[in-house]
Amino acid sequence: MKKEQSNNENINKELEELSPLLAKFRTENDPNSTMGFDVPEDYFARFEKNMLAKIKAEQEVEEWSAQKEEVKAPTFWQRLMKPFATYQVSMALGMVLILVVAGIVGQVAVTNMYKQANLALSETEANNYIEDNIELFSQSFLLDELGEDLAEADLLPSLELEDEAALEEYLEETFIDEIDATLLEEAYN
Amino acid sequence: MLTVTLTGLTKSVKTKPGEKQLRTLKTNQLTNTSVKSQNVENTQDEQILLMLKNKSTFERGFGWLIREYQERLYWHVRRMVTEHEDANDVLQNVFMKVYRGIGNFKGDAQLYTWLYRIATNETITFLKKKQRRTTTSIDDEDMGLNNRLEADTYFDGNEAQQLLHRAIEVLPEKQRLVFNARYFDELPYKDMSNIFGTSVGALKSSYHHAVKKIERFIKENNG
Repeated sequence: MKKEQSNNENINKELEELSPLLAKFRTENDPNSTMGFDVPEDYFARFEKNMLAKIKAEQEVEEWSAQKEEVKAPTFWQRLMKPFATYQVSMALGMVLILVVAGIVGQVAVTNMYKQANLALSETEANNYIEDNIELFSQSFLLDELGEDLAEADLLPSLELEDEAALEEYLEETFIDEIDATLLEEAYN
Repeated sequence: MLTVTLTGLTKSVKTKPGEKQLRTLKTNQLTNTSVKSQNVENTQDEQILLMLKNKSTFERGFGWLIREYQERLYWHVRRMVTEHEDANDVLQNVFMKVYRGIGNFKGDAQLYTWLYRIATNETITFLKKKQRRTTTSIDDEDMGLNNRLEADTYFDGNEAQQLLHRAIEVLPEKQRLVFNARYFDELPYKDMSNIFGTSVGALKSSYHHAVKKIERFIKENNG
């Protein structure tokens, strides 16, 4: 308290130099008094009790929370998945998953459809289709891609011509009306 | 309280010149008592801290801490916030902070200095929140304080005390804190420097400005 005494003396001295008016006021009004302020009766006695009750309540809450956490300590996966555990994130992830699955399924279905369509069309049917819709195909395409097949199939059917008699019979059946008679005579002679 | 006793003793000794031996004896006795008192306070702090470390003695230790420091902290807060209800709220927050943070108290500062710092921070936070709720001019604040003091059930100060409170109220927040810490709580500049995190020079300057402003206010408003 010697230290405090000298400190108080210092304060008074300092104040005297700065403001004699305030220094006088300080001497007349004990600065350690309540300076006119008052408190309710037994305030400090009640404050201690109230404060301890408040702290006890907080301690109980802390202990209860600690026990709860001990009982239900989250597993590794629960901790890992915790950021995704909100409703909004779950909904967003679900929607993305649905879109990805739908995309994959759709792609597979379309591929299969084309494959099935290709397999279902026989060569004859393809040729028939081309014949029926010949105007849709370019001449160059027909010559390049189908010229050989068309020639074999329609213009020069593959016959096993074993002898001349068979050839004659074929020609008579197929072209006899279209061939000039003079040409036929020349050919036979 | 002891300081007042000492001041009183010095006065009474001075009125009796010639009794040099008696004065020296009494001063020595008081000095010994003072040293003992300071040691007791330090030992008390140590005992309180020791009790707070043990779960079984925590409650008793905290009760002791409250009993020991509540009044000093209350008046520090009350001088800043003026009204009792506000001071009560702030003080409760202070002790809740102390309860939550006592484990972080390293003991490198005095316990009272640490508590004073917490109380100061809580008070500043409270005043800022209150200021945000009610934005008024300085004149309004002054008039507000005057009315509040007159209407306050827990204020029965005389005119001079009321005038001093009004003068302190118009100071900027930091100057008010520094003035209160020095004038009422009689803190050395070194302790104040630890509490406010400001240099001793800056604190002296703040205190000097505050004193001059208060003197001017009293002269202008007295009579």
